[in-house]
Amino acid sequence: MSLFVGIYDSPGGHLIADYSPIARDLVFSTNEHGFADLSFRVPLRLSETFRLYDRPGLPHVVVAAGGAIAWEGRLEDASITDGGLYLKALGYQRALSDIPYTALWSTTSYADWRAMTADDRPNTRTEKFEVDNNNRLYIALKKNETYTTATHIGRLGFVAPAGGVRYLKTVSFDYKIYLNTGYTFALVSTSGGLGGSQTAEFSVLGSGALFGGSANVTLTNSAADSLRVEINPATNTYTGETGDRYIKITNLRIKTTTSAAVYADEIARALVEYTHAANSAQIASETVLIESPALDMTDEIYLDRYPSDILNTLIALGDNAAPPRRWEWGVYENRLLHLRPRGSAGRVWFVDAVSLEVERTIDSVRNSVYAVYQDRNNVPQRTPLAADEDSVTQYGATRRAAISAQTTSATQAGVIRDTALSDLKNPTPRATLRFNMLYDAAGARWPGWLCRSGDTITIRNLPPTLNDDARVRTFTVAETRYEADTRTLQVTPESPLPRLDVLLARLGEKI
Amino acid sequence: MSELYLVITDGTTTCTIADGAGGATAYRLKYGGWSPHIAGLRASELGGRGSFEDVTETFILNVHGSSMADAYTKIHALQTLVEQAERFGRGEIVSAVVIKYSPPDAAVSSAASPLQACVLGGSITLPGDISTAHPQAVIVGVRLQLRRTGQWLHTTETAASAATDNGEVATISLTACDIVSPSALLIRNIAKKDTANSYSDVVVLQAGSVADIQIFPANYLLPATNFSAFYDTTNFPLSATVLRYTPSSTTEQYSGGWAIDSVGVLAIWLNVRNNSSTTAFKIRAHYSNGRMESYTPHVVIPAASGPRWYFVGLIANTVSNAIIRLACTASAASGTLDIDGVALINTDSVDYGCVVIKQPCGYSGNSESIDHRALTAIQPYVGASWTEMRSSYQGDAYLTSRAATMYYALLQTGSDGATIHWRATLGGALIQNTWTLTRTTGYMVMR
Repeated sequence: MSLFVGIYDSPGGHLIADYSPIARDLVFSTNEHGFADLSFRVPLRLSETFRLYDRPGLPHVVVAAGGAIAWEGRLEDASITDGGLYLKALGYQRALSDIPYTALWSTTSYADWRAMTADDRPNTRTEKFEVDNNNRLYIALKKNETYTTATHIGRLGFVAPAGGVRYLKTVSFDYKIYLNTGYTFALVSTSGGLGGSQTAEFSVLGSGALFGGSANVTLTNSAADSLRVEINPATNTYTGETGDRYIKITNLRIKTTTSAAVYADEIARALVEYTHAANSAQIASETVLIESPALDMTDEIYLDRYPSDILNTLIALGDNAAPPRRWEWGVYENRLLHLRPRGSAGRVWFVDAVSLEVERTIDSVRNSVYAVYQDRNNVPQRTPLAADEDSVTQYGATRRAAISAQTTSATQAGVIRDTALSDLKNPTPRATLRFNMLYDAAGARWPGWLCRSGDTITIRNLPPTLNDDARVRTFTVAETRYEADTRTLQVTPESPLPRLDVLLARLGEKI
Repeated sequence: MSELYLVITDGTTTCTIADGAGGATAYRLKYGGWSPHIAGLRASELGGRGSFEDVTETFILNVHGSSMADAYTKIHALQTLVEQAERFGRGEIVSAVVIKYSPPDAAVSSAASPLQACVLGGSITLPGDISTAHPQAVIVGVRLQLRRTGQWLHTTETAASAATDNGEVATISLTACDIVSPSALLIRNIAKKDTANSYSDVVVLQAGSVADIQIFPANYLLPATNFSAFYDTTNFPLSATVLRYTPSSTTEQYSGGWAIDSVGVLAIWLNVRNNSSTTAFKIRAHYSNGRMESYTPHVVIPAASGPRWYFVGLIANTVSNAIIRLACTASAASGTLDIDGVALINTDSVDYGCVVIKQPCGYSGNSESIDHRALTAIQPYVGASWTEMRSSYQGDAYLTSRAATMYYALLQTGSDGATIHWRATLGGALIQNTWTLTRTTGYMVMR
């Protein structure tokens, strides 16, 4: 089964050239995001080299064996050398780095709310009220202040990121209202900023009594990009004490989806739609390979970030399994984005290594750990030590680390300490392995180019006495590099993602 | 008793080293001046050039002229051919330079029917005493190096199949070869897509034994929960019914199994139609040999698509009676997915070939050619047979084979209207394809 390398004018387009007979040094690779890069040389005359060098568009490169796609991507770099043309293509994961994305998906932040002024909207007189946004939205009446209804309105406003591609859809919150009769609390959405056309979404009339509740408001304004909460007073002079009459909103969450929770799969599908709309020949529109981590993310605001960066953030959070699984995103054949647990679509291979470079160093080993945190009075504290005696025995030394924990909770600091110890107690080998043959568990031989990042490889010809903790005999593949000229596969084992990183990322997301 | 025949020519300029009759030539091979190389299998996995490595031959020649000036002219002619061969080897559009060869006392070849190989480049090194005038006008010890294609090609043999329904296996019988040899195909009645016709791309499959190419109706994969037989004769399936998957959930569900006997890495193709305008499906093949299981990667079937042949993946089979099933996942518990044909082809066979010809290709009633062009071009050709009109394609178009009976299948869907039939039809009838195979017998050693 020999390989074909062809260049098409676009995915599914016309064949520009079949370079299979004359391509030299063809090498292609995969990484954790799918097809990575491909390069080869073609001996051509100068005039022919410019045919590709100067060609408009983004040609599509395919390496195939019959119907099987060994690699595909877009031709990004063409350089003319003495001997002809040197071509370099990158996988369609690159399409997710073409166009930055700005959108709010979910926020629970109060810091983005501010007191509105008459410049924002007429009849706004927020200075006549006492307001704050410290872990709440709060508007209170001031003693001896004279109010006129519909003219002296106290308002706190929120604006979605400018140029964002999503409208506000739902607002949920708890509220406490203590307003006199004639006063009204309202949640209002606007389109085109705080001064734009408005739609009343939720309101409560004052009754002179304190009461509260929870609201989950689906906005009727389909193009809402901003919100405000306000007190529209009765016309009178308030003689009570400042702060006796107020509205208070807590547990606030704004979303740009009507889904009950914001999961990474919904964001990923939106990124595909966004990217496909801009460059339809790049990422395909199908989203069937996107799975859900089922992890609700409360604060997801992306400002001028590339979709690839956003996806990296999303997979770093893991999922709702216990312990959380590692996730991956990537693009393989047919330009389809996948989002799934790392290695869940991977295959299992068995090989006999012909070239093995493994470096084991105890530089990264820490088998005794304590965490440093601060108590409520900002006094530095240290947790008791946690140690792994097996590691101490194996490596002949106690290697201790202090882990900085951004918490005031001794319990939380202990969790961080234990997670760090688990990550650091064994060395991670740095390895590069090359082999010519790929076998499955039944002993059947497979083409080497089928091995991809996320697959699992077991090296059969290592000593059976090797310590399994060495992570060398069986490992998940981080990167593959296939040399067609020599039919040689080179793989790099994956370093396990430090679970501490996952833990800290999730804490940052309040998960 | 025949003599050595050795000629380098592009069809216009010819340098005869040995004329096959023992006569005097301008380029005389020094005694012991050539040790022919025997090519090995190509190390590179790249196709397009056959299975064997290029080799470099070195000839030590004495170049004779009527005068020294004439001897220089002879060198010049040789150099012209070498340069042209080098350009040819780079893919430039020049005529091929071939080396023609028949050894003394040849069993197979002759001066009239020599072995041939393409020259891809080379060099000429003149002797150190070139500046010394030779009274017999001979330049002694000219070193000619030629890089040639590894396989010596001889005569061609052509045979044709009977007219065969699209989607079924055609058979061609001819003389078996000892080693894989370049095989050119002419396929009649490939249907072309245009605004009025809905024909799909074309999958061309080649195998050297009946066990290595199997095409069967997917309804063989019954019974299974959520799978049923759907009567669909109006759309020209392989049998009266197709396999219908009706999802009851969004979890993966399995068809029944089908036993496979062919040992090797098998490529699986499925002819699939998604009847839902909203539900997308994922399909993958599940393989079990009783001890281990494996899956192919998922293939996505978009909403409201097909029928279309999809490459599903590769499975490696080491035993007889291994079982394959189809695993389907729906994006919603609604809609239906129909599967008509399952095609399995053994990619480990030396007779294996697969080329996907993209639309637009072919014309009704005319032929599409897949031609290795081993002696005339640096690249194979896929396109119209009656004129140089290339088609877009994917796969190694330098087909090779050696079996006495060859098996071919053409997988195409569509019709001469908007309706996409399971198999290509014209005027409400299945299109029949006729296959013509021209095989050029190849050798690695002098014959």
